[in-house]
Amino acid sequence: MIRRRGVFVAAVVLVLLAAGGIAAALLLHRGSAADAGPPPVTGGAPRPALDTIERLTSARVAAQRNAVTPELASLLPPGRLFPKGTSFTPIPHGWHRSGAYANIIGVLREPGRSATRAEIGLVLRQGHWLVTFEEQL
Amino acid sequence: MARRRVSAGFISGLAACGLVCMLLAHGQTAAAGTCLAGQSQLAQVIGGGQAQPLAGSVPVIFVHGINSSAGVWDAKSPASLADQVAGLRGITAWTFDYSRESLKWVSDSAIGPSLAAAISCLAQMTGSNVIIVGHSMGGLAAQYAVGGSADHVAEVITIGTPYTGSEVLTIGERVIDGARWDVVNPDVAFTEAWLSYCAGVATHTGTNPCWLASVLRAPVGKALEVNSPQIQSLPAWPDSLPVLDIAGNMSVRIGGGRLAFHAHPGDGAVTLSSATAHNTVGKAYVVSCDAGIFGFWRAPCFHTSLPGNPAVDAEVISAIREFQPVAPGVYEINRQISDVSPWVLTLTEIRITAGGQAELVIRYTNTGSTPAQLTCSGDTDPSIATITLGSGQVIAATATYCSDHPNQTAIRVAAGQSLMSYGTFPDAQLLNRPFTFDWSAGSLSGEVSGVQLPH
Repeated sequence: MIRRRGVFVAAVVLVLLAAGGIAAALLLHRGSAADAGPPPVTGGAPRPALDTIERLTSARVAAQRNAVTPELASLLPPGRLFPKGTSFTPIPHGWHRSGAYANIIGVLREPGRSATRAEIGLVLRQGHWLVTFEEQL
Repeated sequence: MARRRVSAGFISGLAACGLVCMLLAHGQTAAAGTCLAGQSQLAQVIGGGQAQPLAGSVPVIFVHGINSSAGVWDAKSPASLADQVAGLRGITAWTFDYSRESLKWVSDSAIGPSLAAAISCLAQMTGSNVIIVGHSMGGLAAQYAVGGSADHVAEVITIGTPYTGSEVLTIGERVIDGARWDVVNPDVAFTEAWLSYCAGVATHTGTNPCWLASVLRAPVGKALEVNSPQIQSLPAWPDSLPVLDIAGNMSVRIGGGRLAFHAHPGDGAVTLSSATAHNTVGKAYVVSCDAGIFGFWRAPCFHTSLPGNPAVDAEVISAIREFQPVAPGVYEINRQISDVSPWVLTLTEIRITAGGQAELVIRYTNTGSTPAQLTCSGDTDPSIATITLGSGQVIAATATYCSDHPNQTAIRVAAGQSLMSYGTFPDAQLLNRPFTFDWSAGSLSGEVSGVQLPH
């Protein structure tokens, strides 16, 4: 009888130790997350719209041009729209949408230039967001 | 019999007091028992604090456009177009308000038909034809109200009126319906930039461009599409009715850096071609300006900026002045007609009689040192004196000195002295706009151009 109880107690201890280990691991992960910094600001914009803006400011010329509507593209000079290294960071609550149309306000950073506040207009066509204008504020 | 009519008028006047008193509270000077008492959408503009008398005046009706109200004319402001017009001698100014129905098509009973009734009433009350100044869809309301007949209307002046529809609205309607474009359309770029900008703009007023977005889902949005069935079914303008088109012509730069492009959307709501599609008075008046995508609604030639644009206001006032009643009196001109020694002929003055006739006075001065002689022989036909208007219309005199004195074949004029001759024309009102006076007198013939009575 005593031997079985000992085995039971040992099993309980093992479970507790395992649980503690798991808990410790979880705690360690949370600590890691906290150390990784705040989540990126989206301004409230949906991921597909942000993807379009990333393409607009990406290093690839084709990606940049495919990020704008064909009508806008037809009016622009050929080639790159933004220099390599350009980025756009939405401001909190910068996203506004009405039906298929939207705009987002953020900070535009182009290499060699001061960061400026800018607004980018978008339209949702066949499930894809496309840029309709970009203007510095 | 007469006493019974007076009593009836007195009673109807009392009965109308309630309505009249209410109308007066809204700044209207309706006369009890007249058609004006029933014109709740009509309000007289009191220019400079003084109402001009109705009888004999030329009434001007200001008609606002879509999604708007009579407030667009800013009638209470001393610098506004409506107030300036109200201050013109012999002119009464009125605003026509259909704001509660301004998202409906002009065939609505409160718009076109009601405006027609207002026009008829003012023509009846004043004894004059009416001038209509229509902004935006207000010009189409005028087209409906005129109904193919120029009766009671002297002229129509339109400001940013979409005679053939609004391309911006058309594109907006199609894109929000998910249309696909087979051919790349640059105008779509401007429209979509504007629609994107307006996303999230909560307040749609006449002072920001997003008001146009609010009409896209209204019935009138469809009616204002380019060459819509509703526009095509409007009655044709009467051939004889003068129509002056005023339009805005913006050059809008959109975007920065390599994403920059230019658009030319007319006044932002109505293209230049649509706003000038029916102009019959000289050339359409176009106001141009530059703008960026942000703030283009504040540009002086944007659609809702046109009524208060000083250049537009001046053009409207200039057009209205041509219909101002000519006041009786003597107007000094002193323009030389011819100089053939020893005679110098001068158009000295124009006399306007109370009966509305105009007498142009010509002075024959003998500048020689000896007496000289004139003769009426061969000059007894009064049509030797003519006036040619800017439209090309030629009006002949109904009488001249020689037609009145055909037997004067030897008129002696001493050296340094003058003979006064004249040509009489029946309608002084015609002289309210620039004209050319032609005096046919044999070797002394000549003409004076650019003559106009001072206002």
